[in-house]
Amino acid sequence: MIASCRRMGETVAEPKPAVYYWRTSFTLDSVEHTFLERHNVGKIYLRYFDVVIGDNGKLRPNATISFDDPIPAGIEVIPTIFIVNNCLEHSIDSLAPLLVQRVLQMNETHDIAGVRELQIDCDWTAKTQAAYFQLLQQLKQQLQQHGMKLSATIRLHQLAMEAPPVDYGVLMMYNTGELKNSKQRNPILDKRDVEPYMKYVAGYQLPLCAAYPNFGWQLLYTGDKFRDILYSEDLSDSTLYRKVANDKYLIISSIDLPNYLSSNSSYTYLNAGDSVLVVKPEANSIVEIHDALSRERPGINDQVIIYSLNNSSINNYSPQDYEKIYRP
Amino acid sequence: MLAIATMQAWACGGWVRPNYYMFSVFNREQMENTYQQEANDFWAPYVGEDFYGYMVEGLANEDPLKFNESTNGIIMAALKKKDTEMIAYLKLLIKYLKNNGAGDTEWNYPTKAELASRKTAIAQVKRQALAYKGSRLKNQYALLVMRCNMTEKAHQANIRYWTNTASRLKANTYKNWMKDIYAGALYNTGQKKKASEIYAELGDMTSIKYCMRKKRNLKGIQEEYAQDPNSPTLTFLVQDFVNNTQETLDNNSDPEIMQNVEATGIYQNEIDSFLQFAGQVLKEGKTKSPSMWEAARGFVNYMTGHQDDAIKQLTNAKNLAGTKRMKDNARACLMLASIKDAEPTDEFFNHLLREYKWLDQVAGITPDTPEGTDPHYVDVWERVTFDNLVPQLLAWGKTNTATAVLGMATQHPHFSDEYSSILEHHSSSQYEEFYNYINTVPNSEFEKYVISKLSIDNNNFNDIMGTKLLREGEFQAAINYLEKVPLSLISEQSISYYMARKDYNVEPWMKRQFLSPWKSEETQVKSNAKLQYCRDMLALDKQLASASGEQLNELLYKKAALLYQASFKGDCWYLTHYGQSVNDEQQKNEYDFVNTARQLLRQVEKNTTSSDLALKCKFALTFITGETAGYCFNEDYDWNTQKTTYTLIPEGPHYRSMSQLVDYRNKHSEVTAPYYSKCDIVKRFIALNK
Repeated sequence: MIASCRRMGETVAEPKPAVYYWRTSFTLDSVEHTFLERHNVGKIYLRYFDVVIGDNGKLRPNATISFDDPIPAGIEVIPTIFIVNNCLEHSIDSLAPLLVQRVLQMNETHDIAGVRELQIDCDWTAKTQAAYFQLLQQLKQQLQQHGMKLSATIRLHQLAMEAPPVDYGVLMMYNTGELKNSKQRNPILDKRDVEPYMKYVAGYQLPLCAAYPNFGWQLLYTGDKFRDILYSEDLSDSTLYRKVANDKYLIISSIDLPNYLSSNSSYTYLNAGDSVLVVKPEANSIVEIHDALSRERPGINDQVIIYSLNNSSINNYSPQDYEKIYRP
Repeated sequence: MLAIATMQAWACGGWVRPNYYMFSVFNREQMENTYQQEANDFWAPYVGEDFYGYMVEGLANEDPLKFNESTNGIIMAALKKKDTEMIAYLKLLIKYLKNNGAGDTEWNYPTKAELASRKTAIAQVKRQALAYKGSRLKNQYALLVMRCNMTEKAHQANIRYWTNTASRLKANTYKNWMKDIYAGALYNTGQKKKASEIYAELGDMTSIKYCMRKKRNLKGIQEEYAQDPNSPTLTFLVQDFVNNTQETLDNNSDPEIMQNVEATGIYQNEIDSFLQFAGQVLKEGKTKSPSMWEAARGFVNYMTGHQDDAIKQLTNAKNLAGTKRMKDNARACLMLASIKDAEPTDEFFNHLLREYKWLDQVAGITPDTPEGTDPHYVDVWERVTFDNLVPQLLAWGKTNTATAVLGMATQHPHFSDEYSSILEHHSSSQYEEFYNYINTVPNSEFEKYVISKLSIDNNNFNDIMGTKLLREGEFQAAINYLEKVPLSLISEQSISYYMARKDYNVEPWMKRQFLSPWKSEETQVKSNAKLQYCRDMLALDKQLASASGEQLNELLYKKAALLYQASFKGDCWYLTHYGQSVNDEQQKNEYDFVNTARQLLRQVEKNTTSSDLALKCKFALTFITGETAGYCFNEDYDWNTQKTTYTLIPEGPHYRSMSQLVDYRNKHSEVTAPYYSKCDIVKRFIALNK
């Protein structure tokens, strides 16, 4: 019944359970291998590098991934490039061939075979839309010469805008809220933040699949003021943190930690008296949104991508939860 | 008096000095850009005075096959010296530098063959470096081996190489570098504690901060101490704790500032616990660095206002066991603490003398290296002198000593020049008193030491005294000094450019004498205009004494013009000042040239029977009002049309003065006054009033 309601081209060709891989070196431990096998993951959307503005004002690649482990057999790699939005305010005329060439070379150098697609991730806005779409068109043309397709991530706020010129989009169902409001709503995924955009989902003029989060955040507050996101901090260290609620820890001794919101290698200073709020979407909440999306746009969950493959996140949900999320 | 003058100087100069850290048992400056600095230290003496840091960075871009075409100073130096051993090393080093990158930030990603070739090249470099049989560059080649291992992520190989070979090499900067790489290998193989200890020992701030990131607090100190009471990491952690205590007190725990200065907050309960813990460490006697612990206690007590404990502990710390830097640290902290609550006794000044002699030495401030050689102790010098000793001397009424101490600071190019600013604000009598002070036998050896660092030669003294007296309107007294000033001195001053080109006899409201400050250059002057000005003023006063009627009015008008020219507003400001700024204002010790000129003009305007002279007075008064109180126009510049639009400000002194001028002119059209009819300000005013 559902299948008969679908329009052609609404969903992704050859859908498979998939994951994003968003670290700077490709290496898999046993937890990650098990996850891939247990959930029959068929695609890894692998961040190859970012594009940033260099010190000389020119665009350059950054944080290129290194390949320390081989890609597991039978899994398709979709090279993914994150383009920092302000790059689009610079001249991007020669960017498309540079991106394609670099991706092809990385595939060749590291024996990554069977690559049929490139994905671009960018938090583009109305201001950068024209430049971004121009870049995508150029990329599409270039990729066609190599028999490759082009996809792009779609953030919720971008649903209200014209669809980008790509073969399909991945609707990002995470980072939907405001960090400043995280005490009231879950900034990673909250139904109330998604609802206003649901009306655009059915009619969005691009084949879509969906990506859901499996990560949590540790948010640092001084009083009520949000300051930073901590990265996998061991909050069970009782010499530094005191648990004062299920999701809240008080810092009892000042420390500094590497800063992950900042582009440079600065530190975040945690002062005694600051607090850390742990936020993580409930599995039920993800499944609820997953199902709501399916109702709005049958087929959108034919392919689900989990963000991301990382042993520190995998155990946030049970295998059964993942099965529900991966379910079409 | 000086207290006020100092405050004025502060306000004028706008100097803001950081509250430098005093506590330093771990040289935090030493390890900024570690490798770069170590490499520079090696190459600088090899290349000689033409060495620049970019030459080291530039080696990676050189082609070992084209050394003869190279313009890199390092390669050129090796070729010039026909240093075949060094040339061979440079070629290998360049081969390493060209092949160690991962291509992370380049668009051209390496091919499989290129990656393999890099791998091969690194292996070759390592092989050749291992095969070096000489002794001169043994450490450099050993470092190449370890860098190759690091590139290959062969951490175990680096641990073995350090243990078996590199650790036995002679001590130099390259050995430290190798040890740092060894620490990295330990860190990467899970031996984090051992790695941290080496980083602390080497003073590798970046690495130690990372390794110790969760231990920058009392609990971290206690943990490290419990594991090893002599862990090198404790020098970093204890210093960090003391300095963070300072930051917390200085910044009132403002989280944003604390983050900017990379400090963690230390609060009273933690301070109390630290003091207790340091006492316990000293009592246990397990530490080999009691000087550091005792000084830490002492300085924290100083910062929190426990002066007696601070002095006792810092004095004690100087004599306890520890490294030289630890003992120096205790001494510097004690020097600072001893100024607070001190009495101006002989004993205190003798103590100061001893400590300044020592501080000059550890800071490396000598006549040959006035910039100093240890940045930390240069900072200590500044904090002790500017923020503590000078205010204390002022509080004791020792203004000349305070001024001289500030003068002593001018020997160091890094320090702000409050001395000149204070001397500039001195009256002639204050200045003379100070001059006499530094030229008489001082009361104490300390003053003798300070004064020995200062000098004001007679010519400069005469020039400054003469100028100050001129500025005070004491023309006869000024002549007595100015007569002794050689023209060569004035010609070396920046005011010579203006003195040679601006004539004080020109009526300022009739003709402006603008000169571009950008074209300023020292100019040989043919006469001392200041001296001539004083003589002219005295001669004019003499004429005035016997003049009456319209002649008196003419002479008074002339005097007004001369006075205005010499004021800070006049074109000939060089007569009374050594520099000019739009922010200048009437100073307390200055004769009021502007207002006196204004009063004379008003007097002449009122008394004269000549419409011509009256109009000139009104014109001059309007000019002075505009220059001092602002003009009666608003200016708007339109960038599109590139036109300026003026609108009148109908209230205000300049508008009133202009109205009176124009009314008077209208009533006395018989006066020939080209200066009036050609004046753009007048024309604009009339046009806008139509």
